[in-house]
Amino acid sequence: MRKTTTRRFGAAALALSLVAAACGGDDEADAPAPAPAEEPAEAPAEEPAAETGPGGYVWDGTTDPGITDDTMLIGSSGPLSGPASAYSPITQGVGVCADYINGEFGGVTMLDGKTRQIEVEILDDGYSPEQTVENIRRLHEQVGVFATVNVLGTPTNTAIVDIVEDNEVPNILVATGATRWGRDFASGDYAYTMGWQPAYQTEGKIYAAYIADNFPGSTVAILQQNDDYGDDYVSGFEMGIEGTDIEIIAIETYASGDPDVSQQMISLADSGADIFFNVTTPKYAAQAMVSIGSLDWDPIQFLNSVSNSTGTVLIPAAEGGGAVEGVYTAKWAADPTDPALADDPAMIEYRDMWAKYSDLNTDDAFAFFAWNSCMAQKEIFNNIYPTRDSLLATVGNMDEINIEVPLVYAENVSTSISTGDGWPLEAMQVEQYNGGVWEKQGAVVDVDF
Amino acid sequence: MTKFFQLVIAGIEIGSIYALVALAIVIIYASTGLKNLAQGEMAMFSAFIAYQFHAWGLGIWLALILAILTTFVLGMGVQQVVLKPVQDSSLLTVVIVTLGLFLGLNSVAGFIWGYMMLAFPAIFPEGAVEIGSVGISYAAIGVFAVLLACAGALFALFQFTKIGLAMRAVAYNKETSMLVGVQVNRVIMVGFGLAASLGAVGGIFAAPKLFLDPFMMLTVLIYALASAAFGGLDSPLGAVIAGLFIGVIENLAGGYIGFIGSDLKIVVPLVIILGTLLFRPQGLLGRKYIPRV
Amino acid sequence: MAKTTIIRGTSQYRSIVTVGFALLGLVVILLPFVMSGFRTFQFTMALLWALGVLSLNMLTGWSGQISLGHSALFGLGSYTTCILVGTYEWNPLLTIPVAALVTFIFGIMIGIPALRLAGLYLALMTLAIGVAFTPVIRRFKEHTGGSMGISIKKKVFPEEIVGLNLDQYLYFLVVIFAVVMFALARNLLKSRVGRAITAMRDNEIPAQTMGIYPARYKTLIFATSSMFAGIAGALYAFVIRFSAPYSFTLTLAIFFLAGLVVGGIGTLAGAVLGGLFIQFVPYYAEEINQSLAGMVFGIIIIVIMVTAPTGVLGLIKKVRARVVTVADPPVVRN
Repeated sequence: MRKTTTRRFGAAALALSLVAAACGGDDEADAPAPAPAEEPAEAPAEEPAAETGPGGYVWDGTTDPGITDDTMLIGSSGPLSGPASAYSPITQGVGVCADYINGEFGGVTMLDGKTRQIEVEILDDGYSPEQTVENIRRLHEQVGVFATVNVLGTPTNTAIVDIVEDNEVPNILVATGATRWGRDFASGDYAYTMGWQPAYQTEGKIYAAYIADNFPGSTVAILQQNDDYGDDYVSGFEMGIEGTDIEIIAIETYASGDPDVSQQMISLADSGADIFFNVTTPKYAAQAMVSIGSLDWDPIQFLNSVSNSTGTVLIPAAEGGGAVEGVYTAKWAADPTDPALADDPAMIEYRDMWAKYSDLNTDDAFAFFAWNSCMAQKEIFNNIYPTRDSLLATVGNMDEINIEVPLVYAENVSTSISTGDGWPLEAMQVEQYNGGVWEKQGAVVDVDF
Repeated sequence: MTKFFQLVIAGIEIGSIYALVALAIVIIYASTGLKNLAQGEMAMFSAFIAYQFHAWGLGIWLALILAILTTFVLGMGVQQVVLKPVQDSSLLTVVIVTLGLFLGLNSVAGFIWGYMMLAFPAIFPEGAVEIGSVGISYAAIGVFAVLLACAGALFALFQFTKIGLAMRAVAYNKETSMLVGVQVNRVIMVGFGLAASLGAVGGIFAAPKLFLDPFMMLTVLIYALASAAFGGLDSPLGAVIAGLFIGVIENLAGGYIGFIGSDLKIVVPLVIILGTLLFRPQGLLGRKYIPRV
Repeated sequence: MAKTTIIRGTSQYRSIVTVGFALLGLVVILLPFVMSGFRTFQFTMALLWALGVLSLNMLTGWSGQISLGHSALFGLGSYTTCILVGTYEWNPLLTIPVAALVTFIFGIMIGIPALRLAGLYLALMTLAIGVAFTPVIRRFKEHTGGSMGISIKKKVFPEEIVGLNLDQYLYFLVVIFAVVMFALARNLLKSRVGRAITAMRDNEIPAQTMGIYPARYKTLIFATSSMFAGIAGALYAFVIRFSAPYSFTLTLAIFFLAGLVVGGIGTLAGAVLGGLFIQFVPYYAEEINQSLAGMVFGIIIIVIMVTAPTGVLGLIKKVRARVVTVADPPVVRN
């Protein structure tokens, strides 16, 4: 039961600046458990009004708007059209996820014991903030959603945080890695907006720590996109190298929409740095690696997770003559194009289910992002009472529920989905690209703020 | 100095792409007086067509020649179906129609081939000629050679063939040409096909370097427009020189001027457009336009 | 259907016009009380787009100059308000004159060089301005918030003003500005200045020989048009309470142009239709085919241009002409 509507496409938006919603990752997780009515161990009380859910939430027996006895209505907004529409699988995935949950499990079974079909309203904003404002108001006021999920982009979410706060409708698992979502959720400044993927800053710190440990005394050259996404990475990296002997000797920026980055790469090569930190979206990441292949410069490369998809970045870059061997990255989720995972049961489950319920390209890293988020949604909605406060209490305490996401560090899942500090995912695995596969390097790095 | 020469070479490489698209814009402008804002999107579309032919198993050179020929036909078709009905309407109408075309082509390309970038097969062998510490990639040499070949062929076409003569006549004066028996509509149609093919060459040779996606030519179009304005909207030679010049200048500015940095690179061609328009609106090599009542 | 003829200037004509306007006024006033907050907001947005289209109309419709840079002027107005309210905590209403002044001056600055240019060349120059706006905004991020944008806290607006909620208040605020601006535009067009400008559009050289100085009028119209766009942008900042570079790209300029030609170029009512078009039509383009929305929209534009160059307003007039004839009164000769 899906309906999709749109308006306004950013067709010619020269100033596109893509969000960087990333994925990657690997490994296993079990096939989704058949989900009927599993109560968490601590909430067995049968009488109403004494029931508690995750985060110590006590249910008073009420039901919030958007939820009936047999349905739950949620919404999302993202760029289904325009220059940022490469990300559209993340937004479309909310609808696919609902079809999957409804089709495989008959819906979500909340803690009140009722099973509800998920209904979804997806709206297109073309990555244009004022359109997101219109969409979110429409979802809140016209459609009457219970919550919004996977709303995509930093400027778009920034435009709506106040409205979300005023209307008190949770906006969970936002598809952006800006640091503020976690910080503001934790501080209570914006208690209705909650992130999901590791913050870009966290990842920047992880690289800094890895470099300080493994390549002491080295110099670093950085290519970054000139926006908040690039700045977040670089500031995290700067925090991480503070007090070490690592030194940044060159930073070049580019604007999303630039035809290419060869000029920047020539300038960086001229610095002769030991390490190249590549903070770019997929297309520019590939261009930068191709540039290195043709320049007289052979740095150790660190590639941000935004662009570490094997199939959509590394292989095309290699085909274009890029220097991809030995590149380092950090991952939090599996990579559907990783040949090593071809027979992984969790990956097979993913491919089967997404092929069954959608026509999304399952090699697409963003389609897989949507699957990861879907795994989280399923468990979150199975572990709430039908109120928004309960939803917020649950997402703020995801460590209390068992989310089976095919993360790269699957063996470590329960401790990696962390407590109510606003950043559910803060641990990443550093990996190196060797002979067409990503190989784990060292242990999972967990950075706390 | 290595950095300097490397920047200049990279500038010539990207500048050749700007020049090819600028040539396409100039040819259409010279023969019809209209500026096709969809030129970049048409070039992008052609690159996808070449990609598709290659994906079907054709050799890359065969694929790109077929794509250029296909584009020639498509270009003529677009002119006949979309632009001919509004040819004599106001400038605004024509601009709007080319913008509509722009939106449409972009959307269709995204629909067919998706929005994720694709690796376009290398056209020239990998590797570089080393001169001292400066490496000149075969791709850079190749693209530049293609530009020179296209410009040369165009020159020959205009100077030595009947259709070229007819095109120059139409560009000079439509009514008079009609009176002396030139089939103006057919000439304009061929001119459009030719321009589309030139743009296709630009798009296809840009694709291995820029990676292929529906937005590949968006900013290139701005640079190409700047080149066309700077060189003179009706001067093919001007377009070539200006394209190369802008490619080199933006790279040097980005590489050496701190304030501009790489952030404001896009502003370089825009300033060139503004400067040209203010001080020499007809461009470096363009003809001066004298309004008549 | 019997065809009736109405003579302009008769009491019958006047009463029809009066009743028409009264009905329209009633609808406009009742709308926010009948519609939900969200719908009211949508109509407020449509009016804002209409003001943007109006500002472009003054330039393109009256003086024949194409601008692809009105997105930047609209954005400049919006940023002015967001920065003054967000950073310097001004009263929002006081920022409107500032935004008007800033964009007026900016309009003169680009209007003077634009004097030397016509047609395509001016389109090129304004395109350059439109495209440069985003990187420049991002470059000065200490003031503009860069790509994160800059927002206005909701609490700068009172919860309830003279019995209206915020949506209704903003709606009426925009309606009042729209009425005043449309009236100003209408009077300007009918004035000596307006006649001089349209004379220049139709043919510049004869106009010059008749003693019209193109320079002064062209600069004036450029500055006024840009001021109108700036005021619309400032009001936009009231409604959206956020400015980010992504909102003021070339897409917006294209939407203004599309709204202009689709509504009906050179007319005031066309601007309103254009605003409604920008707000509501892409919505339905999506209904036809989601992934091809851009193509559907592109085709709509091309088809309208090819089949109805006078826009929707022209079509409405044609349809009306089949039902009633509005004739000028017969000229009485003495």
